[in-house]
Amino acid sequence: MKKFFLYSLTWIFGLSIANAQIQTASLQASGLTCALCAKSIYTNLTSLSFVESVDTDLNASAFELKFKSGADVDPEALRKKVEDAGFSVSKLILRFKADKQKIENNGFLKIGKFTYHFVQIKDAVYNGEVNIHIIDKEYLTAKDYKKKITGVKLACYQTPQQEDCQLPNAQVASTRVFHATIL
Amino acid sequence: MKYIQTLAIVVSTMAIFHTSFAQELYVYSDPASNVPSKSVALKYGGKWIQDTYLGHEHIATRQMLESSIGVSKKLMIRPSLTFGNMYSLYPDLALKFESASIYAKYRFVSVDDIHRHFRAAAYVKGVLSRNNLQYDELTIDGDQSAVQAGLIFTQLVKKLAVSANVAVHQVIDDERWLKYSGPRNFGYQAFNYILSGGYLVYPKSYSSYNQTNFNVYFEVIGGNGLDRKYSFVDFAPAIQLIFNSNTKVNLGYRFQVSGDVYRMARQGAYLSVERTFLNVLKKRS
Repeated sequence: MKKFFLYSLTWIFGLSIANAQIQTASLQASGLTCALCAKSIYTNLTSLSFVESVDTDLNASAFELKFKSGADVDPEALRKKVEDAGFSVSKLILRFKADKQKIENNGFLKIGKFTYHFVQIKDAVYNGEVNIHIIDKEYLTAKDYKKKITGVKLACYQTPQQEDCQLPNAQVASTRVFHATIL
Repeated sequence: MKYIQTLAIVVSTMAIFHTSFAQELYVYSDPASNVPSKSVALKYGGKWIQDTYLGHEHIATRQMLESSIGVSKKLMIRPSLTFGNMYSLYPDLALKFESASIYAKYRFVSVDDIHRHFRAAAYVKGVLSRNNLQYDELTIDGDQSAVQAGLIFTQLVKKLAVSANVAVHQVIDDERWLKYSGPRNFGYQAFNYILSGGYLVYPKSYSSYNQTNFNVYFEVIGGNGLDRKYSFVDFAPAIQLIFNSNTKVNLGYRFQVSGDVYRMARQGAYLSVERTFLNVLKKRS
């Protein structure tokens, strides 16, 4: 029944549901150069229950994450851990394996509990590894965000609510969405 | 004019730092950044000076214990205790409890970019000390009971880091409020400042968290009496080793380069060891 309901939503609002899981991610942090600073981010990230392992590139302040099988990957939890350490996220790329997954420009894709809204992409059917680049304000440097605002013409890009990105007549419950593009 | 000269020295020193990664884990001061949220850093520090009492030369010391606690990403607090014999009468050099203090720092600006940030923080420190006022120099190290409030600005630009710490210091010794109309021996208010810079000597390129890091620091520490006129400018070069990205060993030497301050010592050595315990105040989430 639930499935039926979700598929109906898909049909009405262009929301697709990926039968897949975010498996790995690349996260770059900003505001630091010291190894001690990177260690605090590393320790915070490894404390998350859905994180399996973290590899660090100290010179780039970059972290390669592997997630536990079957776990729901929460981008917001990743960001908060970096900020708790005293720094910011400047790039977050989430990866999942697509199996003939259709993704449309200005469309939605639900992966686990979280919904992603795609912009600046071409409608296509994806197979294999897909790199989702989160482009919300808190996941980019100030400079990159400014560039994105100019590029992404949608007003809803600057809000985290799904309803803002729907067609005018759409009625959906307010859902947190992550704006993203595909690399 | 004196200040302009000092500033010129500081700026030219900072200019040297741009050849490598700058570091802001200063030895004599605090950057605008805090310890990470839910983390604790425990620090032991010791200061040694040469003191002369009625012709007897001896080494006097102050030992400090402090713990920095990351309350949130923006707020940290730091209770500390000091023990020493700097205010003891020779030949009684046993270490005695000297002061207890609490420091709180709030980071109110944070602008991050790749290998770059600007941060600003406000802090206040209250010290309750057993010592009576004996010198012009007003510190927050336990020399006298005091409150100091200040602002810290830290700019990291790729390989260059500069930090400025400006503060107003008020003595809260009972003596200040005694009804007494004669001349006062010491002042109760000061403007204190620290300008800091740091340089990572080793490694040239990071390979792991276990690599030992070697940093060199140079700080300019100054004070000016606001009610009783005096001033001083000290230079404080220091070196730092960081082991396993969690243990710092700092060694510094601070000496006066100008000023007419009446103080306990014009120079002193400093050693501290600090261990950071990351994310220890939080359950696994």
